[in-house]
Amino acid sequence: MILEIDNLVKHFPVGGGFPFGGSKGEVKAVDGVSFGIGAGETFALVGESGCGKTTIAKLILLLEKPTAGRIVFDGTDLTNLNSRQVKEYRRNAQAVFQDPYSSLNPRMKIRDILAEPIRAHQTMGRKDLERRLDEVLEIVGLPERAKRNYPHEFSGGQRQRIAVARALTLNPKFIVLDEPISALDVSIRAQILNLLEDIQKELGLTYLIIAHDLALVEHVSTTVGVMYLGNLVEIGPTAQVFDDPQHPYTQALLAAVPRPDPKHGLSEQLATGEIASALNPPSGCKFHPRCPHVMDVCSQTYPELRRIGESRAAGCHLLEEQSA
Amino acid sequence: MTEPVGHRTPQPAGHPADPLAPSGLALLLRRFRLIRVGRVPWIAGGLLLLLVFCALFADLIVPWDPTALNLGKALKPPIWEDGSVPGHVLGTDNLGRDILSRIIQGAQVTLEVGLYAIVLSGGIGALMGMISAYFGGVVDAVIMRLVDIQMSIPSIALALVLAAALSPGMSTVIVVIVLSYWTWYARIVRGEVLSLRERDFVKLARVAGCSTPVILWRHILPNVINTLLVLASLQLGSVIIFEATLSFLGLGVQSPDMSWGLMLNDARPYMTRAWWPITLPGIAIMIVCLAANVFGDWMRDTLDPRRRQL
Repeated sequence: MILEIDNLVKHFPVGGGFPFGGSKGEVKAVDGVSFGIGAGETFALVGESGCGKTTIAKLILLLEKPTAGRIVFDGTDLTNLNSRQVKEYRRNAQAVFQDPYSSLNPRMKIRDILAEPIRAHQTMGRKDLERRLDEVLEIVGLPERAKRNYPHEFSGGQRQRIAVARALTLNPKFIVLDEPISALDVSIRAQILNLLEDIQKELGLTYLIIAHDLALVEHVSTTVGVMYLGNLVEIGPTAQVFDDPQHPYTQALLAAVPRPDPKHGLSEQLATGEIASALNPPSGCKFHPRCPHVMDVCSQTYPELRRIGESRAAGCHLLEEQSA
Repeated sequence: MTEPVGHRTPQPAGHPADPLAPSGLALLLRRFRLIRVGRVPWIAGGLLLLLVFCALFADLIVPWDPTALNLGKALKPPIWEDGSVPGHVLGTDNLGRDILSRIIQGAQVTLEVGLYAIVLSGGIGALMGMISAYFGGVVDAVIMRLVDIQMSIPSIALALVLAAALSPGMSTVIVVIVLSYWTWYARIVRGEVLSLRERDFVKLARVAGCSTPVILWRHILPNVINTLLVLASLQLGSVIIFEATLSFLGLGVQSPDMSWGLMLNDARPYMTRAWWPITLPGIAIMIVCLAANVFGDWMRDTLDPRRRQL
């Protein structure tokens, strides 16, 4: 396991600032999530917006401090690092974000954008630096002359290539991809996806992909974790989870995927209603107000993740009944 | 009146008039516009350059020694009025000093106070605003409450206290202006940084391993510098007026140093007998403020990327 997350919790206090008014409550963005990512794997986190998947990405990238829980990367606990250790970790863990228009500083040339991670970590001779920049540009399929331009001179897809190149400059082991293609035109999504896959094969990278697009997840990931309101409700190898979803929420998500088949009607599995508020989540199983199979026990006790088979787990009371 | 020639079909009777059609007043203004709007910022910029030139080379270009007294020539009018003295283009004041020379020399103080005050208040305000927004929490709350407190103190009262405590003079004027103006920069920069901080490139800079000072310097500051420049140029006008006000009240620049506000004060007792010693420096103040404001407006429009793309 290159990355292990153990019972991670992140609560955001809401309302009231110093010195007036106290806190009005907490948003439980991430409420006890555990999973592990093996080296070379592509782990996908899926869920509706607001389920806490981006918060997990921020916690892993040390952009937020967890309320509780541990994040272990390559044997070191990230929750208690000094600044030198943080820097060492950042050398190995990089990120690509959703919006390529917001992720490149409009006032910096591509050369400086790409060189920034290197400059933050080491002093490199001018020639070596240029050579490294040319290398990463070649990997993402952009010409060397791109270094001289500003971000606004590139299209969305090209900008995302630049963002990927920048993530590669330090030769990291692990990259967090937060919705890497959802802001791009449909016509160039496949290009960027293929690029990311090629890079992974070539450099032996480990990916954590945050996504809401199930087709993308099915296509690229080896393991998938389904999140609902700050909890992991199902986790397992992607092929198995997609073939035979165990949790009603996973079933509802998959049923909602449009299929190019006119005879395929809307399934009864569809979840109804809106995602509940993370400020005041439902009791017991957080999915119970929307679940088509809701039972009495669902509103009372929280269903812990239960192991199914060798490598899968899901958190639902239905599974307990089946096994009992 | 003849029918307008054009491809638009005439309005049927009773139909409401096209709201996009230019009104009568707009047409009138368009026809009789004397100065093309596009040239106004150039005129303003030229006037500001003239101010800088006067301030830099005052000693070389003044026709008379601005402090030389000559009571025999006291209160002589400008050359286009009866009773003027040759050589004194804008006349003389109550002590016989040449008004044109004093206005040129006064530009030095005006510009010096303006620049020091703007640079210092802008620098302090921008730094405070950046720190406040970037770190947030208690730091933010403390700095912003300081801003609120500072904004609730009338600046003239502050000037009175400081003039009494420090002794009036140019440095006191600058201190008062910086104390009353940094709050504007702090608030505006804070707002900008709050939105910048959430942009992905700032987060990615952190992921890349950049330290906080590097992020502030390389990613935040270049993106707020436009706002700072515009605010500074717009405030130049009000800073100049503020300096003139303080000097007029005797809280600012003291004789024999000269400033336009001080000239107004010196001329006030003779206002009913001679209009020029009080009017001409007043006009100088007005022109410079107007130029600074117009120039600032133009900078705001030009540097705003949203407008630039139009």
